[in-house]
Amino acid sequence: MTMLRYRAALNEALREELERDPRVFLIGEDLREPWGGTFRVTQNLSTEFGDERVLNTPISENGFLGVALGCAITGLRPVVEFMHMDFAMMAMDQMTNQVPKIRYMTGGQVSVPLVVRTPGGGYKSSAAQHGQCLEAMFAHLPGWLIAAPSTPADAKGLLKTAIRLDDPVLFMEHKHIYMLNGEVPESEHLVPFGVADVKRAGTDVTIVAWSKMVHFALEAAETLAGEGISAEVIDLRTLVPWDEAAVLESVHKTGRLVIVQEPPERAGFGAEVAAVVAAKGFGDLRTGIIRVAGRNVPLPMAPHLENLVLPQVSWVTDAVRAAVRGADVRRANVRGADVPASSVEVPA
Amino acid sequence: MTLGRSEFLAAYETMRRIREFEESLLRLHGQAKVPGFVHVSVWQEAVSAGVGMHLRPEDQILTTHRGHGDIIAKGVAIEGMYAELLARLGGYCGGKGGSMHVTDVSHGVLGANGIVGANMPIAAGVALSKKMRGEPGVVVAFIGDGALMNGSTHETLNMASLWQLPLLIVRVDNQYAESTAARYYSGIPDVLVYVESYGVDAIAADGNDVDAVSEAASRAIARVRAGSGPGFLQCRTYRRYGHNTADPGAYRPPEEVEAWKQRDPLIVARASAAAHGASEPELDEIDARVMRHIEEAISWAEAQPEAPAASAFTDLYADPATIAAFGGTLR
Repeated sequence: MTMLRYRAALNEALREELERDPRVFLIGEDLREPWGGTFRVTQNLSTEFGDERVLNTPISENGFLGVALGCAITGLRPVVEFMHMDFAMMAMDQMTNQVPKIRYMTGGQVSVPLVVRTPGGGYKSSAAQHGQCLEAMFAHLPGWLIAAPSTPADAKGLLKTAIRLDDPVLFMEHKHIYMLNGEVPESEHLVPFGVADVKRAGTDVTIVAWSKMVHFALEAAETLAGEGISAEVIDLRTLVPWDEAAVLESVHKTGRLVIVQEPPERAGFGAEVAAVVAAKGFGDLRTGIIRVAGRNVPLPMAPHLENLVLPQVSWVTDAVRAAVRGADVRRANVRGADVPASSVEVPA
Repeated sequence: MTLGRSEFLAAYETMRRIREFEESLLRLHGQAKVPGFVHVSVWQEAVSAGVGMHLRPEDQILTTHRGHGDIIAKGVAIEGMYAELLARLGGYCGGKGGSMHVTDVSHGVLGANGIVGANMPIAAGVALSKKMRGEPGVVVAFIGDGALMNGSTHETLNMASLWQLPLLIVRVDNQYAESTAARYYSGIPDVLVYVESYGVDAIAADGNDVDAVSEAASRAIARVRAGSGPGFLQCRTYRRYGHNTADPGAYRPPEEVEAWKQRDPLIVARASAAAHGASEPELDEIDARVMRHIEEAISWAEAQPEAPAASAFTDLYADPATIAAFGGTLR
């Protein structure tokens, strides 16, 4: 074990995989030294492996993702970086119609060992075009695998697995936890897709989260423990596929489910989790499922406004209290209890 | 005249095969045997044949929704194409691709694409991959005229020039982007000047004269093959039919269609037969042979069972670990 920041763990995963497999290369904007990636995830890699393994591109997201796809179907293993997840929208054709479809559409004649790494995440006053978590858009498209690690260890282990899989992976990092420190196993640390991590065991309520929201869930669980509420926190780690069995098993035990997601509530991935649990775990539920999620508005820049729009730890604790104490679950589902009803008009 | 006698006969046969394949699809679609959207390339065969004849097995192509001709000219068997388009077992894509996505990797056909402009960056990637792996060969991206106005063209021309990729873009300019004539969609005064401004070598050829296409394609492909950077070949032509089977093409003046009818590449080729040392009876014999082959291929494909139901749920993911993570489904 060694202590590494989230972004350094990612850097280590890239280094190890570049070292291990000559077919792996990185492609994206501003990856090379002396810049080393806008969030420094690719720091020093062009120096160590040469410019031919670390390609800087023009600002042509659709173009260079297409280039990476052409490489992937002919024997190479590209790792693409989109500087911000919002920029993946510039590559929507390749992200939607090409990368996840080409294997199926050709009857399996080609495989797509391709990873798109990209950071989502608000809480940085980055406003509406530099802070979105867009995982739900891609979870809707058959063909993608999606990872959204919350810790340095999972960041490394999932990225290494992603690079070795013969299928396209959307790897959602999070800007706000790039500097998070954590213990990371050295070298061959591989985390499988589709296996959730129970971060904290509990008996009264199940909190499901991924990416940064896992930390909010853990913080809330700690607070709630002081009130005698025992919350189980499950980090999904990967959204496609996601570990239905682990969540259902937990809900079977606790009878209550709170799902925490950062992006807007409407049609978010939390809705998928809620729907599956409602369908397959209905008999286990003692109360309504609560989603804690971003409001259905774009991200505002001003910090005090952003905090009204993005989930807060207090929203999680309030939601759990509502679930456990049998308070008005419907109200908990409409707005975080820390927002006075009169203070802001939120679209339904 | 640049084609020798045997090359001319081979090119003529390829064009005839494409023609009869396309015409047969219209019949089969009319009989509700070929489902989906079908875009045929009748009168554009000289471009497919004139380019295809200079491609080697290690060369790779990516084409468009109107790509049957390019695929046939690369040497793909029409039996497998019919099976695919008729949704039968034995189709190249297991019945999941159809007309707009015919792919045969073993013959260097890395796919037709249903999204205008999308194949270009992918083709650039295939070319980059060749360069990175030190593999020989060129990559050809066929595009339609309308694709030139797509952002991916700009992105691809720039990257191909920047990275000096072994990529040839062939623009099959049939002068209509679906129903919209070039004068209504393009503000570019000169396509070759536009493309050359990226540092991409651009030439043009008469797209209805297989001699002219072959001569230009030969030069363009040789240049790319020699590692001199990407190229662009502009071929003005015309499509006989509408955009697809649902389009009668009413937006085109009848006299315009009539004028291009005289320039049918098979008529143009036949008129030049003697100059190539070939005779009319020889060409008649090729026609008969191609027709027999077409009929046999259709009969074979129609005799195949439907693509099996299981095909709908295969080929989505490749990796055993992925498949296991989905509980063994979605192979």
